[in-house]
Amino acid sequence: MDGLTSALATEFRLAGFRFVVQGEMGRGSRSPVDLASDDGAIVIKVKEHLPGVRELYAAIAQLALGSDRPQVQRAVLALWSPRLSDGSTRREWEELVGLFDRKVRAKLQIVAVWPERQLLVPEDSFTLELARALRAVTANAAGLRRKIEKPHEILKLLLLRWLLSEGPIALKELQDLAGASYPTVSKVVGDLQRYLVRGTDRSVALQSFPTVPWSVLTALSPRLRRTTAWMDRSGRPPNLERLVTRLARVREPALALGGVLAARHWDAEFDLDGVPRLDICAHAPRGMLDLGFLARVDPGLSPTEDPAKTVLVVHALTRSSTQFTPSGSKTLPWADPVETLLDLVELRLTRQADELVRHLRRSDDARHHRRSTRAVPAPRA
Amino acid sequence: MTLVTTVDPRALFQRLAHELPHELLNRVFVVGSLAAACHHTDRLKNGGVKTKDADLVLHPAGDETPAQEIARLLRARGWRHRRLGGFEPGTRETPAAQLPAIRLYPPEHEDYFIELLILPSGERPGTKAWLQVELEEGYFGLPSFEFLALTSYDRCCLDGALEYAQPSMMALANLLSHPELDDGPPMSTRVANRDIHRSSKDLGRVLALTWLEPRDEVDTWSDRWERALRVCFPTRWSELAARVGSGLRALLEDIDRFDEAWHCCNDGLLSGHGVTHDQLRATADQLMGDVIVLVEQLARSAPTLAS
Repeated sequence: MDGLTSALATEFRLAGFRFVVQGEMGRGSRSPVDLASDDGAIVIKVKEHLPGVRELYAAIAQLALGSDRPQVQRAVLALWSPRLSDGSTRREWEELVGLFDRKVRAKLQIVAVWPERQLLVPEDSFTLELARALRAVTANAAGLRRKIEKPHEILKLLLLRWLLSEGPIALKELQDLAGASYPTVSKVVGDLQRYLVRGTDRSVALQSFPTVPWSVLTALSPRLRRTTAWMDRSGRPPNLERLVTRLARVREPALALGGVLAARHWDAEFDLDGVPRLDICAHAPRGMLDLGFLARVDPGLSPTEDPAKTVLVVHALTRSSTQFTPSGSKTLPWADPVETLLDLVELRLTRQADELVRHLRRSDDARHHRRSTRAVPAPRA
Repeated sequence: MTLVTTVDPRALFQRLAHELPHELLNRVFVVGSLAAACHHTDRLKNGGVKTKDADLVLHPAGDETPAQEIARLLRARGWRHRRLGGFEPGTRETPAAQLPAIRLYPPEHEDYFIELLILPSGERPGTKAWLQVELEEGYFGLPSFEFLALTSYDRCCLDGALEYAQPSMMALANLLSHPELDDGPPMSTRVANRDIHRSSKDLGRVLALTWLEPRDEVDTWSDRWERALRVCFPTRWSELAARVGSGLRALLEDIDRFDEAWHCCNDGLLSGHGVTHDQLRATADQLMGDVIVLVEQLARSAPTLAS
């Protein structure tokens, strides 16, 4: 499942959409479609930047294959910015779809969206909504990264150093860790002026907790971090330990444990009984997070908006440097304390979050642990 | 035993172990719904499960003399035939498949009955012949099934007395017994007032067993299945492993038959849990991804006889 598909599934608010997991369509190990409604009546195949006619034909064939179930009423090919003109797309679509028999043809639909135009066959409320969602997702990816994500990543890195009393950081290093440009770093430093102390060597450090920027960050966090919540569709009691073991086998993207489990790592006295859910930080330096690995971790996972059913939450980390702290060769590393704090705030564990801040500022343990296991920051993307 | 109420399967199992002749306990083991219910007693709701009977498998495989001796011993100890309409022992000339099965009540009550089965000998494919057994009152048949041997692998034991089949092995046997959905008429016995096909019931049982089993236990099934297949079907194991999921895939594609399977689950082992269609489908997805795909991959990577 590519990043556009997972972002579309998150953003697209039509009721009943869930991911089609590998093998679910019963045809070998790969599904011919990407998204399906809960009742199976609507299936969608998503393609980004389709290169040409041959790929369009292949996508239409897969879509027809994915529509070959009695309950499917609508099978939509959703294209973002195909490298064909709208006229060519329409012509090739009509030519190939015309070859299918009447029953298949009746189900096949196309929504192709370019920045300045779109092609909808048929044009109805559903295809219009899908076109809107495609635009929203792709605009978000580009716009957010430029305007909002990078500045907040810079804030998070400064806050991390303040929590752990790690002292000033050079602006160049801050650029590299965040994967941001110098103008972006410079603007953020200017905006945070009242909270910062500057060194003579072009370094900066927070001198106090940035309360107002932090409250903005926590309000935007679920959107900035592309947070998705997942439930076990089988309804069986969750086995979080098993889930952690299986997540630890995932190579791509890089993952880390956050939430309550990480809070217990950063503060052995962390005050909470039980673990309400697993929080996972997933590294997505290019912005789009491919959530296809979840189907391999557990084919029964599906998105949910119900906190009571949530067993796993995935947050995207979009800066260059993960700041993950290794925990052992066969287990997941720990997400950094700032990501952990954001998880606690989302869980409405604000008292525990405040206590964690106080603990980190007082304690040498976390600082020493990070010094001994600090990962080399990735080069700027 | 045809029950109209539910019973505690462990209590029934212990009673069976107590009432069977002691010298038979190491010659038989329990399969079917009683074995599954006994294993998952702690997770059953509504007080227990409605079991038809206690299916007892005789071992070792396919040997007429010991099987006949066991049946005669039970009769000598007072176990009585369950006589339904049309009960008629056969003769020496009656084809084995037309002989009545051996279904016996304990000597002093009719709270349950046992039905005797026998392990097949050899691994050759195809329908297994019933074994003909002569008792004082005539000739009877001991049925056997192609994949029943899997249920004898790695058996469980309750209280060190009577053994029963591992749920994972019963699941494997059911999957292999139905590589596709049967397209004949439904079973003669209805399930909760509904006509049900045999493959729907048996594949539904696979999903029920999966649902009841803890996830980390199901994770061990792929290794167990591989070992059991290699032991029970040394020359055919990879061919069988390659198709272990075909029947379940067919069930998932067929809305009506999946509904039959779901109905059986909710009338049987999953009664009271309120498992929905989607939850059962998710369970199937998990079984596919966590176990079946791995076993099928093993089969594909196994060297062929020609290589």
